[in-house]
Amino acid sequence: MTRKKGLTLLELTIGMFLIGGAAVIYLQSMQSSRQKNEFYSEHFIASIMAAKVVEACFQETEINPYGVEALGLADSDGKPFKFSTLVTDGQTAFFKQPEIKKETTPFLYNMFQKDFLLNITTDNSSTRHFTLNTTFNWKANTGPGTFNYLCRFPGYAAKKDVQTTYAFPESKLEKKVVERIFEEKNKNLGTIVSSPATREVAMATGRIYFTCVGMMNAPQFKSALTAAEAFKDAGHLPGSAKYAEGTQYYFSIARDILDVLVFLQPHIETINKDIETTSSLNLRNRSRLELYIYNSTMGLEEIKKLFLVCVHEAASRYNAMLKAANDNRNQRALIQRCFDMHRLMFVAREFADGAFTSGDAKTIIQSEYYEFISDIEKFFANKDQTILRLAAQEKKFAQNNQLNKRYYACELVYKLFSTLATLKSKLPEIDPGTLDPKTNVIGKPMGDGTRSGALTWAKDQMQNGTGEGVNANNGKKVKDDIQAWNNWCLAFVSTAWGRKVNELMEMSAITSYENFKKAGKIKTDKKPPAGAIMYTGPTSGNPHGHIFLASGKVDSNNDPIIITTGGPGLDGVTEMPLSKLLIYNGSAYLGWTLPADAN
Amino acid sequence: MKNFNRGYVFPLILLATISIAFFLITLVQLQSSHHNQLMHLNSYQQSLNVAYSVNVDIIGEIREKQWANRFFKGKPVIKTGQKLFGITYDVAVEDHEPNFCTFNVKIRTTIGDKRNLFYWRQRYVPNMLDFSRVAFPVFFGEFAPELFEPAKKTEIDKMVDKALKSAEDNQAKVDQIVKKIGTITTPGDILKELGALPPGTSDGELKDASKPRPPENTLPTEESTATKPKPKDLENEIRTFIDPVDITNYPITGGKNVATKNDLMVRDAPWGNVIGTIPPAATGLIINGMQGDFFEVKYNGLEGYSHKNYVEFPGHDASGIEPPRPPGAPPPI
Repeated sequence: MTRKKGLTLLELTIGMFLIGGAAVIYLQSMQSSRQKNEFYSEHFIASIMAAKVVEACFQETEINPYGVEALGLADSDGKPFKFSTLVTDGQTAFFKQPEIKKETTPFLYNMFQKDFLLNITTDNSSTRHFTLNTTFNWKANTGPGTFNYLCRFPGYAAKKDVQTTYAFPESKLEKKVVERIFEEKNKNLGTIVSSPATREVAMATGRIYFTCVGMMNAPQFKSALTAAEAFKDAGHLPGSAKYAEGTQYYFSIARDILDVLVFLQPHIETINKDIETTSSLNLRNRSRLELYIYNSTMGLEEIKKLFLVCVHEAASRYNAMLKAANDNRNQRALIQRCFDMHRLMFVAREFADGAFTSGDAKTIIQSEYYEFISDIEKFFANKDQTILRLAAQEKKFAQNNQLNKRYYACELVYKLFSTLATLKSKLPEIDPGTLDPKTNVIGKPMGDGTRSGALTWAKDQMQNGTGEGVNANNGKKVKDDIQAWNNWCLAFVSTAWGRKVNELMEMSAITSYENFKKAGKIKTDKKPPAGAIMYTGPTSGNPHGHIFLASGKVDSNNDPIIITTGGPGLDGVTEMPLSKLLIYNGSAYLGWTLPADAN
Repeated sequence: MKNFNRGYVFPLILLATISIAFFLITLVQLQSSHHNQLMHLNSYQQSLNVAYSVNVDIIGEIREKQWANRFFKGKPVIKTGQKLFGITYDVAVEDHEPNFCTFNVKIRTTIGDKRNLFYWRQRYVPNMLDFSRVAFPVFFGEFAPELFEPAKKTEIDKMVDKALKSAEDNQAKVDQIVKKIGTITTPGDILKELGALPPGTSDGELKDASKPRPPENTLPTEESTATKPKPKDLENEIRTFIDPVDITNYPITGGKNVATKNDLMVRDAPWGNVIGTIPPAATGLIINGMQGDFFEVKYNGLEGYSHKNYVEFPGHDASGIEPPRPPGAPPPI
């Protein structure tokens, strides 16, 4: 029996079985591999997408302390927040540029349509940061897919503690207060001021006054003031390094002032709260302390104006630099600065009187701020969504009066300036004291060239005086002729000052006024000290203007009492309130000056 | 041919099976490689996130105190084996140039056997005017993880210093190039100027090389037209309330009586009794201090108090204006 050639059924069966088994394993592996590849691919894309979200948060919070909120990942109360959205068709800020759309990116679009959800959980339980858990969830063929990143981002613009280099040393303060304010030596403040509250007021006053002195006289501060003006006058172009340097001077002046003001803020509060307690002091100590409270407050008021002028100038110059800047990095840095400057001006707008030489301060500040925001919104509409969101958020904050609440510095500035305004309204009327009368000029033809001599002599020409003063222009004396000084106002004042004030050696009152004015010696307030020389302007009937003396006293309406020569219908030398004189001669008040005593 | 089939079937099947097995092994390794790549990418991003988060906390902590009270003042603070988001990290914070508020932060993360070292040199912004900005990076980079060790600290510093110096040295040239390019109107000319044309290529071969660049887009923000007082004028106003005499350090020699015709009164206390006089325009007064508005003066053996309006010395201009006797002061004798 011979065996037939060929394969047996068994061989074929085993062969088929092996090939079939191998094919099954192969196909299953391929299927598994395809699914895993798909999963890795989706996982990879999810990780890239999550990284993009994290990167967007870096960018946003770098320029905007409320960036997490601007991105829609926190609410205005800062409560824990959960955010969940699809990523297609611009449904989230993170994937808007470019948008994932069916028409433009069909492959990605189809993938993300498989319930590819972005979930972000925000936790701001720390005051320092937000913790963002960025998760992508999707439905993969192998089962649900998930991927997440955890990262912290800067929190809200919280308190930032600062320190000024100009603070008067605490170790020297009490001694300085005792010596300079209370005119005592080698004494404790407690032996001069018994009330603890008044002691606090005295120390706070000293802290404010001597710190301001330190700042205003610090060489670097003084040179910054000089340099700031010099750079402004030089008219450099906004894109130049010199222009930026000039801007930096304005910024540094404002920065130093703000740091000082922030340091002084609680001490201003102390005075504001307990100023009435100074009444417990004896007259001498009370008047000294009140004088220093007055000078400190008024000094701060002027420092506030300087601050606003410098902040506004810096904002204005940063605006111009922004126009000249053409790279995004530079623009972002400048925008941040501009916003900070505008924010401070905006919250201080109620207190900005005197910061501009014309126009209404509040209107100027508001319109410039909104104009800036509008410019930014228009320019960055299709360029930088981060800045666009910042501008939109800023407008919302401003319109809802939220800047104070949102920014610690804004809150401080507002609080500081409003406290200062309240304190200013509480300031006591300062008694300037009295000049010791100069008996040596009584009964003499002229004064001796001192302010007390001028005042004593002028009073001596009034009704109860000797009237021995001689008008050199007509040789007359009041004791002989009540009209001796009528229409000779300049001669009268010059004679009272012993004819020793060069600026008064003129043909008319208004010319002598111009002399003082040119020298920057005219003050326009209505608080002239005793013996000061005062002016009213020319009228149609009197082109020469009028000149007279301040008595140093005020009436019940705080109107300064003056000593003036007469004219038609007003003979002799008389005392009267300034307002009465203004009605009498129908002219405008020009101001006062106080020359040094002639020696 | 029939003989050919006998004895070869099983080897062929075996060969096919082995081929499939090799294929499957390759496939598995390929998948594993994808997986590793993905894990590597993720772990790097997670490391960066942790390092960034730690740095955010460090800046937050500085902000809540004053720069002068920073936790790493004077000596580096090094913490190892810390945990955040389940990831281990080591951190070192130290002053760099404390006068300029500059400090270095090194953060080394460990995920499995992978380590990354991130480095920030940063400048803290201590002033209140920059209130929306707390710090800005001067340098950020990644270095070999072993450089975290304190003994190797100077190596990173040297590298960073070198990189910053190089950037500084090149800045003028960069500015010059930027300025020059700013005036060129076509992309082709810019490439030529930069020497960036591929070798053997003329700009004519490049697409749109001669197409004019779009006009530069500038922001419409302008300088304000509102007029303000001059800072110097305001400074003068401030000085009417805040007297610079209070920054004087005593004693002063070389004081002068500014009255050129009148004697200067010397009193036993501020507004006290007159105990003597100093001749007109006398010089060489010694000023030992100040009480109220009076200097403690010494002149030819005479010691007492003279009003600040009449005594002049470098840094204090006497007004020469007669002061009124303040309320409560003793009456004149």
